[in-house]
Amino acid sequence: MNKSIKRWICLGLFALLCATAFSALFWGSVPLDSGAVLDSLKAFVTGREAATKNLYNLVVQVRLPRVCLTVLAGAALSIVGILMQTLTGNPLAEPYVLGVSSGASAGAAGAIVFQWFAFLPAGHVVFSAFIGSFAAIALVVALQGRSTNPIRLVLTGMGVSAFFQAATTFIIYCSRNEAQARSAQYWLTGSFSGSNWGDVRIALIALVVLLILCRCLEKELDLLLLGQDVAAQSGMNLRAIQLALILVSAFAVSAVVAVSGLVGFVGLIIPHIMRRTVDASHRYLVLSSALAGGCFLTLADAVARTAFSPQEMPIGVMTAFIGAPIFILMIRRVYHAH
Amino acid sequence: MRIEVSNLSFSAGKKRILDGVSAAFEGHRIYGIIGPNGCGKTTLLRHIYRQYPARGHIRVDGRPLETCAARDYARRVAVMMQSYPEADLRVAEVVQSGRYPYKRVMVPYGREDEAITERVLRQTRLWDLRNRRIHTLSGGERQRVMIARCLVQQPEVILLDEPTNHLDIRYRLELMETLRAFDGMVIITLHDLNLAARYCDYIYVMKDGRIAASGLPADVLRPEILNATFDTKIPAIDHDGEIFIGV
Repeated sequence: MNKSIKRWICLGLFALLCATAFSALFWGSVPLDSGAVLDSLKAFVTGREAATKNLYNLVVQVRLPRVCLTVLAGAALSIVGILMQTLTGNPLAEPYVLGVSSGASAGAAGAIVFQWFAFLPAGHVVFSAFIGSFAAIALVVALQGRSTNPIRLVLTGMGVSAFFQAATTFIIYCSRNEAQARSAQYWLTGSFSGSNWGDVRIALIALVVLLILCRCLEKELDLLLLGQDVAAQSGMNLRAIQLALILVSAFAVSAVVAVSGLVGFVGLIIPHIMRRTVDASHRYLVLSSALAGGCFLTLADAVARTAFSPQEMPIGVMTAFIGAPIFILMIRRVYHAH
Repeated sequence: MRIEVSNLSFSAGKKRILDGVSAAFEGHRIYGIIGPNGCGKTTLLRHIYRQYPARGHIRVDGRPLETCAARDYARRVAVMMQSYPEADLRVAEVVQSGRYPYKRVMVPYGREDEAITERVLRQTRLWDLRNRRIHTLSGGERQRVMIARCLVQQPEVILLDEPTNHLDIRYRLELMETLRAFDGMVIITLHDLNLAARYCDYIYVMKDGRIAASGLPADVLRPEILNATFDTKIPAIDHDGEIFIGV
């Protein structure tokens, strides 16, 4: 496949993403007509007064940040999925493989049940999730020591992850009332309800940092696909590259988890599909996965909030429902070929 | 380039794998390392390509190996290992990645790298396969990809660890001809003694982690040495100066 085809695929995915994001603005418990949405968007862009204040608030303060967040989170999770798969040389790696998410969920559950960091004026759950994920990744990096062995890294991550998962369950078990338990539980399966522009900002920073990292380390990431031995013999500083990838990925995952909870499967399946259909080398893989991931998550969230409207399903349920069959099908095909 | 190994020993657990190995490699020659399985051939090679620390026992042009920067060393020494990568990358991408030691961080591969890659792809008859994903290639084709990757690195030395295993006779000869045409030094571990006899300029025979014999093929590939090394009776015929070993 030559470069121009890959470029066209990315352009096509971009158009699809724009279309999905735009149509997602119409989905929700309150049906909206296109005139109202366009009017609100026009008012948002130009800064003038909208015709109907209520609709304007619904579109600009509720749906638009939510759609932006799903796009950004889907893109960021897909990219981290690629980085983890390349870093560990393991096709089953996903963004949460190093225990970052378990740390974040333990932190969030602690904030909900035990009121950790409640002295903060706002966002103590998000802050606590950040602290939890950094505790987890610090533990993984410390336990990995000077080793660059990817198998050891995955196993260490699994151990740390199991510990923080147990801590999360323990904290939820300690909750004093049902509302707390449900709140913590709901957060674990991920949700974009109540997204605001502050969350969008956090996710945007995560995505930009990821994109910069991938652009800077394009050659190194491609080289890692040939195995760590080949990379080391080509003069690559494995340990430094590995550490950079781990820390940036951990930051990005904790940012996304902090604003949306645990959204599974996006980071696992999107990179696989794009690797098979577009390219394995990282320039177009990262770009196409980011676009497709944003598209997938936006669609999943739109379904999650309308399928049982006015009830809302956790987004994690939706991504797994759509993602798991695709994933199983793909595994069947890959192993059938071998 | 001169690589000098002096009194190198290495143990894995209680097992002694290398036991005071000394050897020197220099000039535009093909060096063969032969010996039975487990004699330490691969381990010796791994020390030379820095997978294992040399601990002062290896010198490159008189300097301790540890003092050479990894990237500089990679520009001078290319390695082809026993296993092939199972990546989804395309042939041209894999070959081009051999240019890595010449590039700074954040600088993508450029025109010059593409030109060198194209030249090597044509030279190794991989041009028509350049857009294929490497996991779809046969063993012999993958081998050619990895040797092309070594050539793109424009090294002074190519190290090869048993590259002819799993290859049929045509690919074996083709690979050895490519190495003979290479303008630099080659250090290769081999199981096929006839290939060693035909292509190597100098041979080190290893047994139980030591150098059992070394010299020109005609001096080393002799029944008494081979029989002692491989603990078996190996017929060898000297036919007009060319040695034929085996049945």
